[in-house]
Amino acid sequence: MNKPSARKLHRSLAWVMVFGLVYLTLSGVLLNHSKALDLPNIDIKNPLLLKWYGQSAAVVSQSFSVNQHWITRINQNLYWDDKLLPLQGEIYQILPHEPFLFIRQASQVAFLSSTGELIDLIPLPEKLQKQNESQLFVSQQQIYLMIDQQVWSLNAEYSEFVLNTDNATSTFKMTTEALTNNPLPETLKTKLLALAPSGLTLEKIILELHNGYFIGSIGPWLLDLFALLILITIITGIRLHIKK
Amino acid sequence: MNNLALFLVSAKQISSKPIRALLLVGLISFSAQIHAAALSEESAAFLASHLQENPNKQYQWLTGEVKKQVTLVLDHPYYTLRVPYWQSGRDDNRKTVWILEEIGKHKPITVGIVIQNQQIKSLRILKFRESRGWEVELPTFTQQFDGIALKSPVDLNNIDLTTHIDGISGATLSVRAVTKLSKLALLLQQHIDTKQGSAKQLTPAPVKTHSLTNH
Repeated sequence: MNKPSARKLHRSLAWVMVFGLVYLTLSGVLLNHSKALDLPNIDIKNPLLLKWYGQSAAVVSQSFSVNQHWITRINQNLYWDDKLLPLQGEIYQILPHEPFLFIRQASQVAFLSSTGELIDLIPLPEKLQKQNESQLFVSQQQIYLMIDQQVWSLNAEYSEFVLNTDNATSTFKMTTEALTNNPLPETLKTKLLALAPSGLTLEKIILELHNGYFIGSIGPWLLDLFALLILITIITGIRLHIKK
Repeated sequence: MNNLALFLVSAKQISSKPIRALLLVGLISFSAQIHAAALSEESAAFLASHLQENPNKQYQWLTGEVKKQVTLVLDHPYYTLRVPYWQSGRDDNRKTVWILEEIGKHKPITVGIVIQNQQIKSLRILKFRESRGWEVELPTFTQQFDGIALKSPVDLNNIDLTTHIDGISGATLSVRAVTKLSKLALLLQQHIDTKQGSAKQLTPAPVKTHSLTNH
């Protein structure tokens, strides 16, 4: 390669690399100080970015009105009014039984006080797990769980369900109705949607911009190509320097 | 209505403080037996390896003064209002097993703690769910807790252990969570020992005062 051609190539490559190097340097510096900048805790709620990552925006999946309070599920998180509960996952059923409240889920029944404090988690026997059609009910102040004509009763300590040997379901008088889904008031809905974490953080986006995965598996290959261009620029620069 | 509901309903309706206190004592002493099926495999194995007799599952309620003290230890309230424990043996041979959980960074770490004579006899990580900080599961870390107790007299403003626990670089939050749980177990043990008449009563937690300013 003669001198004018090497100079032309060197200049063209240098212009391409200016942008790439600035972008990589800035993202690298940000990642180096990720904790100090609190990047892992900055939630991204932009619908386009969430869609790009295949994530759905926060939506109210379930909401129940309980004695002037609200139990809401947003994505996988459960809230008591605007307070995050230490519970996750789908609500199969909510049964109030003063002064308690029972939330039936796939593999457990959460046992709450009437003020929304979690008292304990009651594990469901394997047979009762993930059974959406099972029904929690109260009869004569006793809590029962019924499935396929089998009745399980909650023991006196509220720690486990025990299979009832006397399964004559006609003898039960259901005294408390389970709650049904109600539309959440708009003010609380807006507040909760603003509070709900999206699961996508600014740290993740900057990291994937830095390593190229933001545009998929082709990203790292493009960065490899960029590294190759840097090498070519160095070589053409050295050559120009020697042949001065 | 069962005992549990009766206690809470009564406590809500009764305005007299002494009667409420009595009800609370009743509530705290409330205990129950459990079947092993309700426990995870790791927890059941931990229990079986430390308590030979068929142990009773009992509950320590985290209400009132106990709740305040727990909040001081953890810097936040415990995630449930009751904590299970199992006991077997008598007098100096009585062992108590606590199974407690605390979040390291994002996910809860389940820890089993055996206490005898107000000292930790054994501590083991029963379930570690975080992606980092797994080093706390190593015996070289957990063995540091053997024989440890709460510094006496217990200062509720600064509950401390008799021996310093060495940290692990890269596992700071997990180490902190496990250390907090060890303090919590020892504190709760003092409460149940007080109840059972084998320990000095703890003084109430200090009340945080907030100065009021004109706006």
